[in-house]
Amino acid sequence: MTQILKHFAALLVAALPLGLTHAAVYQEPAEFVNESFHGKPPASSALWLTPELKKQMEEILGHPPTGMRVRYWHDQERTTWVMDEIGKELPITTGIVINKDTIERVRVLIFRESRGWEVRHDFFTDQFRGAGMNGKGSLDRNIDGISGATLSVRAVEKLARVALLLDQTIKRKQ
Amino acid sequence: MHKHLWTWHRRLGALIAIIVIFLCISGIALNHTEGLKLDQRHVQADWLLDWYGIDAPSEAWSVQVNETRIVLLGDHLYADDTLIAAPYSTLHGAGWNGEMIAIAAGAEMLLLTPELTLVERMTVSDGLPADIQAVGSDSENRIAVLTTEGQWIADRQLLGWEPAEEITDIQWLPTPVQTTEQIDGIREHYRERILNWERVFLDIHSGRILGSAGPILMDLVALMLLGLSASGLWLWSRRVR
Repeated sequence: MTQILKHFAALLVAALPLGLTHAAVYQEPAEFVNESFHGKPPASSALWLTPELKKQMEEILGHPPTGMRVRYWHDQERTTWVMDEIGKELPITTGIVINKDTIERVRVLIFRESRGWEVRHDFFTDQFRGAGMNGKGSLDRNIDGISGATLSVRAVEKLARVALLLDQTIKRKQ
Repeated sequence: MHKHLWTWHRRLGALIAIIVIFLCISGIALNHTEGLKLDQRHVQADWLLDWYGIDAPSEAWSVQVNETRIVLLGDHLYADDTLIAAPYSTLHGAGWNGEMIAIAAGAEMLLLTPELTLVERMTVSDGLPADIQAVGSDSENRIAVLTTEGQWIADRQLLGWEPAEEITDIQWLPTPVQTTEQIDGIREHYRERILNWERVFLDIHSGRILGSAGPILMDLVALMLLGLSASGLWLWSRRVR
């Protein structure tokens, strides 16, 4: 019996990296950035996270942000962000374009989870178009969820809010 | 008949009571997986990890940079004994530019402070050259990488990269070597991150914690519960009459 359980554990261990490395790439992040600036992307910049900004991000994400700086692309009024957030167990890579303080475009670029991939569809991501931040740090509109994809929906919505927050931070610095 | 059934009803109830208790506890726990964060809590009990036959790889890839030892064990990347990130299939090398440690692993470059705090995970979309084979630095301590497309050098803040074919003073740093030494602490940490409590409760609930016989046992328990329900209802109806 112990032998059978060991086989089961071996399968579990073997499946773990497989699960972690399996990813559906809907669009390469570099291609998304390129597309966002009509084929002429500016050089990337980095926003260093102050303790205050980290705290604000933590309030949105529900956990401290990973890393001490966030990379972005900035040209006139438009900023583009490519960020990761875990849905249930694995990071969802999402590209977000902010133009004049509102969201111009959201696109799920790489999806690694086994469930919740429906968030990649336009019917979901189009809801973010034109959304801005209200005074309470939330989106100024309701985003309809997708049954069976609650955690993925939540992750993408959090990233949209973080992108708006970071965009505002950059604009304030200018 | 009535007395005979009553005796068997009691015996059957006592027999499966313990399993029903486990079923109830595991069922309640699984209903609240998210709230209890069972999927994020990892089993650290050696006996349970041993029961599952879980072990860490015996060999790791290691490279020394500054005073920090970078280790890739399985797909987990460690700096000294601190887990930095996962998953990575290869460790290409690591360098130090006087401010940050730069580790090339998989298709990424990870930047750490000297205190081993993660600054950033750079990818190709951030301008990182693809197919890194080695890490080096020039006389100004700028980080360089050797790729299949040639050699590249980063600016001081490691924000951008440019071709560096004409730079001749790049020193390529030692490539990672396979090791089995001084990785016991990391191996223990690795082992304790494989199994989460959601998996354990799922296995308890389905019986798989006992191996392939477990689900059959649970099927028998389910049949016994059906029998108990039927006999209980019958005995109750007789008493009402």
